[in-house]
Amino acid sequence: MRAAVLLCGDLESAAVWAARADGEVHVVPHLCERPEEIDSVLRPGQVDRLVLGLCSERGPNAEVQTSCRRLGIDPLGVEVMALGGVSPGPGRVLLAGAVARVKAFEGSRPENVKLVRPERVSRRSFLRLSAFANTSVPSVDPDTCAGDRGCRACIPACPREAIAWSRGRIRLDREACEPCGLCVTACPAGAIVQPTCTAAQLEAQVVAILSERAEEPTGIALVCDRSEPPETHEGWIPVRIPCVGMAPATWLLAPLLMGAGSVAVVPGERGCSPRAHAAVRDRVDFIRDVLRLAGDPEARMADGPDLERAPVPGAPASFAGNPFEPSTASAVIRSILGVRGPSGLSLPHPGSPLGLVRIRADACTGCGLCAGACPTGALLVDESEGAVEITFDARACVPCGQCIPRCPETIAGAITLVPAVDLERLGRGREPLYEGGTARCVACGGPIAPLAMIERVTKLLGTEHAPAAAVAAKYCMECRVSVPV
Amino acid sequence: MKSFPRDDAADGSGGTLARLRHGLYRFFAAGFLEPDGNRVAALRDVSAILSSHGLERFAFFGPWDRLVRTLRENCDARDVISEYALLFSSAVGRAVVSLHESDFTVPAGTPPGRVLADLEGDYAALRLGLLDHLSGRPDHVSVEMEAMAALCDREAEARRLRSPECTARTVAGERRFLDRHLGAWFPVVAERVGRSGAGGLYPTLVAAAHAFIVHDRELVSVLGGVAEDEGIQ
Repeated sequence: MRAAVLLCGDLESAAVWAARADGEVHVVPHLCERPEEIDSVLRPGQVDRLVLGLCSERGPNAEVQTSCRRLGIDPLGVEVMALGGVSPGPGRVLLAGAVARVKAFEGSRPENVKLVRPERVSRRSFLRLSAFANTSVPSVDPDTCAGDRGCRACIPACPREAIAWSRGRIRLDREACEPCGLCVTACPAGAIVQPTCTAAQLEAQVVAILSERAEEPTGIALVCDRSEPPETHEGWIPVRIPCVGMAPATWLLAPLLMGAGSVAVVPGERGCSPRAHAAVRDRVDFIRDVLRLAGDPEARMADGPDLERAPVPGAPASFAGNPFEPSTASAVIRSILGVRGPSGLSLPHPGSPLGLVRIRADACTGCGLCAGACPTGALLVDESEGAVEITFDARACVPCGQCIPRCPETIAGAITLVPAVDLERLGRGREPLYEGGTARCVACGGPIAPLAMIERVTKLLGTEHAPAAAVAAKYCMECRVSVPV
Repeated sequence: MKSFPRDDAADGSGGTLARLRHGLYRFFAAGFLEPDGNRVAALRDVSAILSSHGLERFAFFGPWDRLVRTLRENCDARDVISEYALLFSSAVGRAVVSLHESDFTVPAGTPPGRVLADLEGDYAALRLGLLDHLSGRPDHVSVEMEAMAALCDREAEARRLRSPECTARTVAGERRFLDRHLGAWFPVVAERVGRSGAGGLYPTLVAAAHAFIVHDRELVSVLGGVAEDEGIQ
């Protein structure tokens, strides 16, 4: 993937950055005044990705995006950075991170593009048909989505009610979407993708930042797109995400495992949902508890005032794989806690990225609906000869809660879910939570239902319907029709 | 296919955009008909005309550009005919992907007749009449594309006549048609063609049509607002 950096010639340190950067860098006089003239600097097909270093913050620009398309560059993957007033050292680091991030951009689908509606369409802009810039919104992969199994985890996660189940699939209303990304990390199946903020991009950006800063203590600040970058000690490097509410607890731990000394979150100042802010607080508290249990200084999970001080030194990178990927959540937690934390640790916490399911054997009827609803396969049901078994793997549970409403015995407390980390259960791998027998048809020998379910249904039908219940307990659906009444 | 009109000051900018969209819908409608020897050459020529109208301003330009390059790279007519048959025609066994809306019914099991009845009702409500030779397949993608082209043409005329009410009504009709029909099922076609691993002209045609339809659905909701903007008709 070939990337180019275009720097506005009015930036004080543009020449310094251009001299020291790897890869293709162009210093363009007065780029800020005419950013759309990038196609006078680059040829079509010359590069696939682009970073623009400008003097001040810019929103999506229709003319820049048009120029990008002419050059064969997907405009959604372009990073536009405000570098006015940034010192040479930090600027070099920011640019390295931005280049790595755009190179990890995998492209967008048509569903990821949203027209940015201008507040007012002037006759002049409409005459040029260039009034409409585009921004990136998440899209749903119908092949990965577990909506057909009843999962609706994304719907309540959206603060704008932009997601609904409609005409047989989960659909995102791009008009209503103000891309915050909360649905992306709420989706337990990984079916919702925001192409400008993927696990691969975040990993690439953090690796590049830490590589540029080599041995210097570095803090990674996850900064909301809607907030102004805070004034910080130069050891803190911002990594922008659509909303800090989308960051699960493992994103806060990931930089620490990659070699950063500290991590912080900088929430947005306006237009953010209170629920997202509350979730962030829970996750920060969880991280602090985890770090304390691991014997790590709490300063590694920093707060606002801490950003004015140097971050603490980090440990060498110690994680194989991408710690931003949802599938590595259990490995991330065990990496932090497994060696240094107390053995037998069980930490229930609302900010936990993992969960624990318990099934009461005396209330469960073995129907397996919980396993059918589980989007990650943490719960599985096995119905082999004469038996039904429901198993659970704590490593795969992302406490989405989809299993709970599907259970017909919820009132009896047959199944419970707690957001929690339990090292022992994580270490056990898949374990049985329920085992029971299956009734067989006296006529054909085929399975009827779990014995516990038959017992439950018989009890519900009562004495008035006892004969019907007795037939249902002995014969399968097909053989039942031949039984004389 | 009628030639694409030049910018016309009397149309205004909104009318120009409507005529451009009319041309694109007609192009795609022709692209999904069963090919013959002349089809590819005609598509190539028309794509060049459409490209000269600054399509890089729009989000669907990437897939469009790839389609134009594929057409230019000398698609052999015989190859195109066999690609079409393998991908879309059930005459050679089970088609990989159908081009009929009634084959994408939701919920599954809904009778195709229900889809066709809804569609014909919507054509009637939009005052669109089917030509006799199309009445047997009103849900074919080319027919639905032609319906959108007709609505865009009507919109351009309404803007030319400076009739904001007619413009708004037509734009609302476009949005509704995309929501209920073409925009609802064509993305599934794109997904299935993408999964099929097929090469050649048609996957790029489908990708370009998909990107255009998705973009146009957004655009018509914005146009609805612009139609009422002062001085812009």
